[in-house]
Amino acid sequence: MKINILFFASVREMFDIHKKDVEILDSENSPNKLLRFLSKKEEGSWTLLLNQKDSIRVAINQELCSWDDLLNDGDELAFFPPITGG
Amino acid sequence: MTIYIQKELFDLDELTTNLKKGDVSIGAIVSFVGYVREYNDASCTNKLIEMNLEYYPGMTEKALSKIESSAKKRWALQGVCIVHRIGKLFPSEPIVAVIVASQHRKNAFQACEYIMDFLKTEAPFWKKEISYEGELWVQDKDEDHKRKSSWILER
Repeated sequence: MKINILFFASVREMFDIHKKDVEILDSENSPNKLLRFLSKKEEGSWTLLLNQKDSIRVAINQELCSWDDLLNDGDELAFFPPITGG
Repeated sequence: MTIYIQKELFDLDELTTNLKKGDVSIGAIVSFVGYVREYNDASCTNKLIEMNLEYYPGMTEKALSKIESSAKKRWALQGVCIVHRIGKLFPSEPIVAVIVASQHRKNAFQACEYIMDFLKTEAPFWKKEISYEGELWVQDKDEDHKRKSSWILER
């Protein structure tokens, strides 16, 4: 399935891009599984992100979610650091 | 519902006038404005040159409107206006304004604080500080998370 990934703030700088579309196996259907899969396959920034996972927030289709929430084909998945607005 | 995410400075008087306009039932308006501090460290040694504010187009608007709706469910409010700036900001410039109108002051005071406490931890904005010592992404504060949780516990 295809997932549209967005990166913000320090995570965007880590990848040096704002967005990336990835093709993953249907079985990698959570942010947690997707990240582990891409870290194993491509390493680099994905592995860096995996190592910082505890301090990173995820959102699916623009809603904050947990690392084990379900991903579906065509979803927008975002990785970002804790929010610091206001 | 009025939510603005913008690069430009905002005019608090104009926003307040617009919120009040035509509604004779409003007896209280409370507004909060947050500004860029020149120093963000307790020792005041690391002077800020500028701040860069990033957001998540689409999600940020949704998150703000969710916070506003939940405040309206909790208190009787006549109107809410939230403005948050993005992009490059300089010390002493305003970052955010929350303006709340109600019939009596208690609701407006409480709802304004509630909206700010949730905005701080749930609306996706990120601050990067550029000082003479370099660039640094601002870290979230335990205090902000505690303030938000206290509203949930209070229910």
